[in-house]
Order: sequence, then structure tokens, then C-alpha cells
Amino acid sequence: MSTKRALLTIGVLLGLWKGLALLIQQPYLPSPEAVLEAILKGGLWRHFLRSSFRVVVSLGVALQGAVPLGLLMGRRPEVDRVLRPAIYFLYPVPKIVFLPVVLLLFGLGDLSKVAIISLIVSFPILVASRDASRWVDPEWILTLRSLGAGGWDIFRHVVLPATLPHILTALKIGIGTSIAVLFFVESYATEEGLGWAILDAWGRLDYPGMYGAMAAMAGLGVGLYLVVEMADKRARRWMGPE
Amino acid sequence: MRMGIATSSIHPSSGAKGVEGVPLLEVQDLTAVRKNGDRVVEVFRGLTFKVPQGGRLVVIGRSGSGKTTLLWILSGLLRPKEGVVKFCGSPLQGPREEIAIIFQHGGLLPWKTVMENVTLGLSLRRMGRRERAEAVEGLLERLGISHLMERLPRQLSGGERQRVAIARALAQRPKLLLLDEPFASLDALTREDLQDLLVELWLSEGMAMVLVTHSVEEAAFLGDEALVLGSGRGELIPLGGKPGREYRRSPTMWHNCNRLREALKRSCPPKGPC
Repeated sequence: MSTKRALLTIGVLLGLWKGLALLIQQPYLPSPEAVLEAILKGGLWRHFLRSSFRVVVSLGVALQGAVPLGLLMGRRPEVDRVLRPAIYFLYPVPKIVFLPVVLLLFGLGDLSKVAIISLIVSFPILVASRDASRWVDPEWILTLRSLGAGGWDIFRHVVLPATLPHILTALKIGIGTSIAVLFFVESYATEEGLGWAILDAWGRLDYPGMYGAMAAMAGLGVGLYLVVEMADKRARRWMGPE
Repeated sequence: MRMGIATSSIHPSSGAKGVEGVPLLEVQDLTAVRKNGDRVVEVFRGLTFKVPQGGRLVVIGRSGSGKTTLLWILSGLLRPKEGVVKFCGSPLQGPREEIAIIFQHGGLLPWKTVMENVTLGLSLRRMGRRERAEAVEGLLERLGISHLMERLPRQLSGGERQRVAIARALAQRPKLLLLDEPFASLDALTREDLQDLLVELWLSEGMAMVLVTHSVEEAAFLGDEALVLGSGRGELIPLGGKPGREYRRSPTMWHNCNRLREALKRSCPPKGPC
């Protein structure tokens, strides 16, 4: 999406918002300027940073666990045979129901918050890496083997670059999920984070502050998405122009 | 692009010298099987042949006759069910630097540039970037792909892609070059260009070649001996052409084509298993 179109879209949305605010004239829908003012007052920064920290660490943990395991399952039938049934049954279970268990294991702090987000985001990444690595062109692998390459070289030069675009697609979907879960886990046992800021402002009937925190959460999601999108563009360069 | 026959070597110190009297490649009683669902089907049985230093063996046969399987066994990528493959006198245990293989679709890694693809084998051996570039400079020029170094495979034509695949194989300085229908998907003229190029490279480098093809003309043009696969042991046919532009249009070439056609018909009886 070009910058021009992005700005135009934002402008139209703000216009609709402003129109609606003028139309209904209620404190629970403040005008965009009032919300902007609340954001510029500061104070949101530490919530934004804390939330970013939680979600970025969670995504990192999910990637580091799920990608190697997924690729291993995709490339090694004997590993797949052992783990496949477990994935099959766990995949459809909403992992958020494990929250009490995660809290008991990891306490009420950031550790449990990161644990539950990464657990949830791991599954789609695991399945995407597993399925993508299964369809790597055998000719590429044979080429490496004929040049005397070992397992690590094949992973580095073939399996990872061939599957990376699919992994990044799963990550893009995972970002949306991770922000949703972030809101949920920031609703208890913390006084920092955008989720908490939204609920706190809501409780204090500080509607501009509430919308400000919501906008910051949206900004966090969009920012992460843009970063992954950039990596994805690079990773797919070899596939040709879109 | 047509080039004159040049005989100066790309790799000055190379040249396939081996132990006196020992053939480069010696295959004895080779048997291979393939899984067809739950059944195990024999692809060929008791193949026995030799390829001398600098020899040119073409393998021809109908689809499913085991041409590719044979080539993978000769490259060390696949273990035969029975039989021995000896390379320079000792049994082949797995892939080796002196044996290079070019796959049907070139096997170029689409995320690597031409340069990175050509020097892949060298970088696996931990050779530095500059050294690698120097090592393949002459080769790229010789193959007419110097100007494509920074391109990605998707930006190349079919013929250019196969040139890159040939460059990657030769960068290893192989004593034995294996080719699996490398020109099958090219148009007729590009195909002949690349056949001529291969002959030039063979003349200057002196490596032995085993080439799988299903084109009778290609087999007759490139081989000094043909192995016709189809039933059991296959049939060895000496061709003995002197490859070059005159040979392509000569009566000997057409005579050889006809001999190969007859052999192909013999290899697969009308109600046979093929």
C-alpha cells in the first residue's frame, strides 16, 4: 500500500469518526482531537513500551520454539509420527483455557503473560513451518547433497529460505492474535500495559484516555505488522514481482 | 551463441589423470528397485559397464526404465540394492567432489544469485568470497554468463539457467560429470547450442560424462557409447562418433540414430513391462 493511500484511508476514517462524534454528542464517543490531546499528554509511553516488550518477547519465543520444531517435523517423518497426534488434538483447543495452568506454573508476572501469548501464537507457526517444509523441491536438496552438504547446510541454504515466506505469513496472522491475547492478559495482576490503561481509563470514565490507549494498541499491531511485512518482502524476492 | 572449438582448459592444472589401467568408473552387476505402492518393482538387474577417463556414455531408454535411478546411484546419492560402483578403483560410498551432477531442472536455488549458485559448492567448502569469485571467473566467461552474475534464476531464460547449472558442476572440477536430461525442456536451437558447448567443455576439460536423455539424436551426438535400458541388463552399443558440427550433419550420425532406435525397440517388446 502506498503512503498516499494509507494517509487517505486514515483521513477518511478520522472524518467518519468526527462526524459520528458530532452527531451523537455523547461523552463515550469523544472527538478525534480530544483523543489526540489525551495521547499527547504523555503517560501512555510506559504502557506502550511495556506492552511492546511483552508481545515482542512472546513472538520471539514462539518463533524460536515453533519454527525449528515445525521444520524438524516436516523433514523427519520419524519425529512427525511421534508428535503429530499431539498437535492434531491440541490444535483445535483454544489455548487460552490453559491460562489457569500457566498462572500456576509461572506466577502472575510477565513470565506467565509471555508464556500464554507465545503458546497461543506457536501453534499456527508450527503448523505452517511443518507443512511448508514438506513441499521443498527435492531437486534443491539433492543438489546440496551432491555437493557434499550435511544436514545443517541443507537447512541453512534450502529448507529455511524455501519456507521463510510461509513462516512469515503465519507470523503476520499471529500478530493479530497476540495483541488480542495481550489485552486479555493485561487485564489482571498488572498496572502497566495498554490493556490495563484501557480498562483503567474506562473505570475512571476518562473516555479520551481510553480511546488513546486503544489507538496506541492499534498502532502497536500495525507497527509490528509493517516490520514483518518488510521482512516478508525481502524473503519473497526470489518468487518474483507480485 | 556459437563459439569456436577451443581447447584451452578453464582450470589450468586440471585434466583428468588417474591411475593407469583402472577405469574411472566401473559398474558391476548393478540392481535397483523402486517402490510402487506396497509392491517392490525391479528397475534393472545386472547392469555391468565401464567408463574410461574422458569417456562419454549416454543412457537412453523409455520412461520408467531407470535412467535417473542409475544416475543417482552413480553420483553416490542413492545406494543400489545389489552390485558395486567403483570410482577410480575404490567402491563409491557417497557423494564426492570429483563427481558432479546436473539435474533435469538445473537444481538452481531460486533465492540465490547466479554467482551464489555457481559458487555454492565452493562456499560449502568454506572458501572466501573473493577466492570463490576468482575461481569461477574464467568459467563464467567461457559459458557466456559473466553478465548475469547478480541475477536471480527467475530472471534467466531456460538456456541461461542450464548454463549456470553447468558452471556450478564444473566449478567442482569434476572427473566425472553426470547429466540428467539437462536440455529436455529447451527449444531445438538452444538445445543444439548447449550440446555444442558441452562438447567444447569436454574437449578442454577432459572429464568423463554420463548423460541421460530420451532423445535419440542427442544420444547419437554426444555419446561414444550408449547404454540402452529397458529390460534387465540393458544393451551397450558403441557409437564412436567424433562430436563436432560436421558430425551432427554426417551420415554416420544418422546411422547411429537408427541403430539406437532399433535398440530401443528391442529393449522393450510390444507386450513387455514398459
